[in-house]
Amino acid sequence: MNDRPLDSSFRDPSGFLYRHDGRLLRQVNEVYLPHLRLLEESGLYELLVGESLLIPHRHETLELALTSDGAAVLEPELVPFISYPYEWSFSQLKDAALATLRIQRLALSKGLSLKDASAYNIQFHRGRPVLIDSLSFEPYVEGEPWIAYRQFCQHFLAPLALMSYRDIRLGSLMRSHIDGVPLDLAVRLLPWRAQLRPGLLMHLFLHAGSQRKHAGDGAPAKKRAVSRNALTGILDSLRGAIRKLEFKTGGTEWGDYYTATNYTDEALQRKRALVGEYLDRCDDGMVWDLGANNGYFSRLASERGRPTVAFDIDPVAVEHNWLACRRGAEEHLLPLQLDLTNPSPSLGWAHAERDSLLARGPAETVIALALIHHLAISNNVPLRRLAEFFHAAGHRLVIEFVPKSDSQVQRLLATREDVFPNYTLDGFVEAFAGGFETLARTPIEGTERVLFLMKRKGEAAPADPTRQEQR
Amino acid sequence: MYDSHRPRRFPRILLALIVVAAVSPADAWAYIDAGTGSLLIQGLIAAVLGAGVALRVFWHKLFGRGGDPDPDPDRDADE
Repeated sequence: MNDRPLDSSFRDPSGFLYRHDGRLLRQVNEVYLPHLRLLEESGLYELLVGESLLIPHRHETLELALTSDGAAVLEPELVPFISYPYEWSFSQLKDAALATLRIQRLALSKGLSLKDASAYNIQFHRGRPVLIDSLSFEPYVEGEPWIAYRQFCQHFLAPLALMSYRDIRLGSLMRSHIDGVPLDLAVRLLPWRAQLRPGLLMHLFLHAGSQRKHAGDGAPAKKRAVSRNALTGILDSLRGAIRKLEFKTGGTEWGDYYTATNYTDEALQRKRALVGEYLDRCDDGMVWDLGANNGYFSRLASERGRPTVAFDIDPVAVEHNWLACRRGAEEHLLPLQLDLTNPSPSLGWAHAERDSLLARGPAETVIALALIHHLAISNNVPLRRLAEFFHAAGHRLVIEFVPKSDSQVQRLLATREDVFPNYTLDGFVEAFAGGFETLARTPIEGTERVLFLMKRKGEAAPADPTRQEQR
Repeated sequence: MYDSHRPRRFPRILLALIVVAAVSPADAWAYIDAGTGSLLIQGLIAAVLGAGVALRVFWHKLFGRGGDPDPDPDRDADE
């Protein structure tokens, strides 16, 4: 049998995820079976699934177990695209944190407790933060502290406080610290005034001080009992601290892009109609909109019912996009932050715990509007290399060529030497001809730009690339 | 796959609880490191915050109002 546990699924002895005949399955080991029963028979599973806080699963035959200690096999509902905390906007991380706390409150009410509080256990599914690890529960024992308290503070409270109090870009610390932001680092970076918030004082500053004081100590000789009331108090305090943290930032370069374009409303509408027509010529399946800004064009795909990820480098644009998704209860659109000049790498143990962007693809359709001049001119990426990247990213490509004569490109060239003799329409067509067949090519009336629909050469009907990498 | 037919729901839950309590002390399941400093500060914070919740419970029992002692939290993610 070629099946083996996923590279991301090895820490918890309770079980693991694996693929079998193209399906994603979760083996539950003998040791966790009583807890799974408790989750399901206590009513907690039904309660959490009913509130879209836990990914639903169904039981499969035990014959599909991968190892001899398997006691149950579950098939969880698939999440179309797995994202990571370092790709989320401020409010996405905040919503994931609040969802985790609510799950813990509901678990306590049913006699269970979360045994971990990893941000990686939360995914955005149908527009909501959802716990994807159904093996995260253990029986609640009166008097026991919350074992996941440290992890919750590192994965959620510390990065949110840093993003709110210091700089929104500090969310990227989650990329360099896979088990969350170390609390000693967080309190060194936070301003003194953050201690004026009792929640931050207790859960970050005093918490970090206690960690420092007891670093290297063994298990505490005398563990203070934490009553259910006290645990409820801690959860409420964490919730209050997180709810008070706000997204703060000044204006950014791109946050108002669609109010600062260099073409008319008519041209924008023509471009919108054209992109829609091109999308109709693509198969259903995952859509990646690269450089999506506030998701204006991404919604052409998501409103067609296609799972769509709207990537942008600007944290303000992604934040606004997420808030719009939340307001509109949009189920098919997922905004994420991504710097295409340095996209999410493979991370963690053996470079395999968290997938790179391309390892999570290819998408069925990639949209790249008003993008390539930024990559080709601001980041000096040759057109041929751009074509190679897009070839790896998706089966079909809706791409806009923005010529040098365009005022947006002129702006990029204003403060630098033009060392891009090949950045022409002909150069673009030639660079992409190696890997792509052009299906359509239309000038966008009222602009100097040209919209292309391409497909990877040698592909007739690409398979649905929707896949997931749950923990 | 275990049996999904459960004619008597409550006794099965009790049985599961008893089995869990008998074979698995809570610490055995902590596959992540809770951290000594984190456990100790949690105990101290619990002592402070627990008093507040206890007061809320007392108030609720005494007057039957003044806030549910263990409210169903708001749907935070929707806010």
